Amino acid sequence: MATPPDLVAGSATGSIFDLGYRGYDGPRLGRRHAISTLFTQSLKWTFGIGRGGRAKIAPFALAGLTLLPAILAVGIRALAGQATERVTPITPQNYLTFVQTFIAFFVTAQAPELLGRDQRHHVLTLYFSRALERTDYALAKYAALVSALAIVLFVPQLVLLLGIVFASIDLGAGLGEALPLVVPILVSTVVAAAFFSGVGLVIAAFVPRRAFSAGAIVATFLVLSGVVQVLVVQGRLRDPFRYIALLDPYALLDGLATSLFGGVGRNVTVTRSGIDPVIFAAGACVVALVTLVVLVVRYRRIEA
Amino acid sequence: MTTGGGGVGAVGQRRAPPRDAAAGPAAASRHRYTARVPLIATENLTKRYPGPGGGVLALDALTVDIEPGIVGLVGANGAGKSTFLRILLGLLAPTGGRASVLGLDTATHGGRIRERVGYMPEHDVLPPDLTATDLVAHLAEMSGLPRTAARERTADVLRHVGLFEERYRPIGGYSTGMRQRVKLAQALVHDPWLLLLDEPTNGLDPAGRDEMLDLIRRTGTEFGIAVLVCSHLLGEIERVCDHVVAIDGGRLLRSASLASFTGRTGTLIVEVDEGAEDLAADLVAAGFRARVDGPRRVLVVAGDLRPYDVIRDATATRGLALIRIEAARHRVEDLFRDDPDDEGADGNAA
Repeated sequence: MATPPDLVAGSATGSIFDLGYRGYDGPRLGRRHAISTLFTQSLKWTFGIGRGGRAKIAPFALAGLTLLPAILAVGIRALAGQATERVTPITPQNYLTFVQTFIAFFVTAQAPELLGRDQRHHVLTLYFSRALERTDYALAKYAALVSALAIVLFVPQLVLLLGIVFASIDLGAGLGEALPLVVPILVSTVVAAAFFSGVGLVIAAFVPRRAFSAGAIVATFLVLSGVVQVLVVQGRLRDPFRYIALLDPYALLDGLATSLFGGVGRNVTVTRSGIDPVIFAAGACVVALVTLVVLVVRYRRIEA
Repeated sequence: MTTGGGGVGAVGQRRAPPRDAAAGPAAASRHRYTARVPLIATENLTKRYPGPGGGVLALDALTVDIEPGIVGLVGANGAGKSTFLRILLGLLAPTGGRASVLGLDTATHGGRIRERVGYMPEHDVLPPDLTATDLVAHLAEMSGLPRTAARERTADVLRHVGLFEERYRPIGGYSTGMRQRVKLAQALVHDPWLLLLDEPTNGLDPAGRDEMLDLIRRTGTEFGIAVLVCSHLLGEIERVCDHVVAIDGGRLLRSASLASFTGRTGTLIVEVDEGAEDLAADLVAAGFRARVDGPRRVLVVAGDLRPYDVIRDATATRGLALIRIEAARHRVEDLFRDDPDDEGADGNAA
């Protein structure tokens, strides 16, 4: 690549020896590399890595808040011994519903971060004129937020599991109690992360301004769940109408946990509606998938 | 359909030779498309945007072949230039006809085209909170370059476009000139075979304009990258391009080498302080094509005949104060308006 070097003309810094433009004959990894890079970069972005101190405050504060109940629960269990299992309010079975508000806040804070900037500043034009396809962009962003949220939720549940194992009188009993919980924890966390993230990302994709999209997301989670709960509990709804309980995101989460772990849920929308928790769990899966499809369609059509 | 074949061929031969043989498929492909397949070929390319009243016809059966070199795509605002580029990138589906870039059909191989084409959009597309280095390196990876190569190439192209220590500052604090350089750098970072530049001098001051045009010229001549520059300013096209494709209303007006293009726009502007209509009438009476352009200006097509004697005599006999005579500026609007019979022939035949 013998490009003759020459001097940079008229640069403020004087005569910098310019190696000039050189060609590139190295490997081109194409679309798959672009997708995986966008995914990892977005995942880091969600935690504020590579974005300076202020961007890290919200994700790490919320991650800390989701971790705190788990640490407390393990501490109580360790101090009081195994007999207090019923005293400990937080178990792997109800952990997700316990931190549901933090999940909503995490999505509220991070979904607009992931999508809004590229839309507001028309950066999508630069993405879509490259190896990356529009669908890839939507999938990578979705996967990034789901993974980030899943990591935030897995860590405390891992702490809970380790607490169960090591606070037990003997290791065998501890493992016997903890191991059957692993698969339900994995499944419930991934589905919960997917449907919360999906809702947040779809709203963020249609509302580029961060303040507005964050407001819309938090309203969807908090207001919708509150309104639906009031309607279900107070409304004495007849048959087709009681299914509006499925619009409550927290009810979906509770139904999901109850169906996977067994037991009785905490969410009054679920219990008072009289609908099988499995239906709520199915609803959570449907929301996760539908939001993914909507996101992909949105980015296939978006002007860029 | 004629596309000014002679001029096109000349441009192709003037290209820098392909890179060394070790370059593998890159060099082979460059060589192949210079030899046989046109760099860009469109056939009855039509794009109608839906809307009330039949929508807007952005491209109207545009058929043109473009060969490597520095090619200018000129047209007034709204002539269909940006639509044309977006179709070439496979980002927009034409409503009729077809287009190929690097021998690949835009409808079916958009992804492969975009891997090998660099695109500098017209509008501001830069996130203010990232540094130029971070943005360009990220976009290099989005073009499929491995991480370390992306970093190295980013440093190279940012230096090439003249961004030095500023490259570690957030783009939000950049001047328009610096932003344009970042946009050019991101289009070059993956070493494309073809650069599509949409109004690259938009918003630049004269000095910045000169630097950008110089950069484009160097990129196109020294590095073997074919360049298609869109502009509504014929003066800029004239300074950097070897070949010009003019479109108007989505139709091909003309595609020819720059030399033949400017050779035919021999319009004079004659400015008098009054009596412009009388002067125009005298010129027409003497067999020239002349018309009044504003209260004090007459445009006259010089062609082979020289109207100077007639202008002198007319101003003298009528006692008009002649302010100046100058060759018309090569604005694309003038080109499109002055000589409709000659200039429009190719396009109207399409």
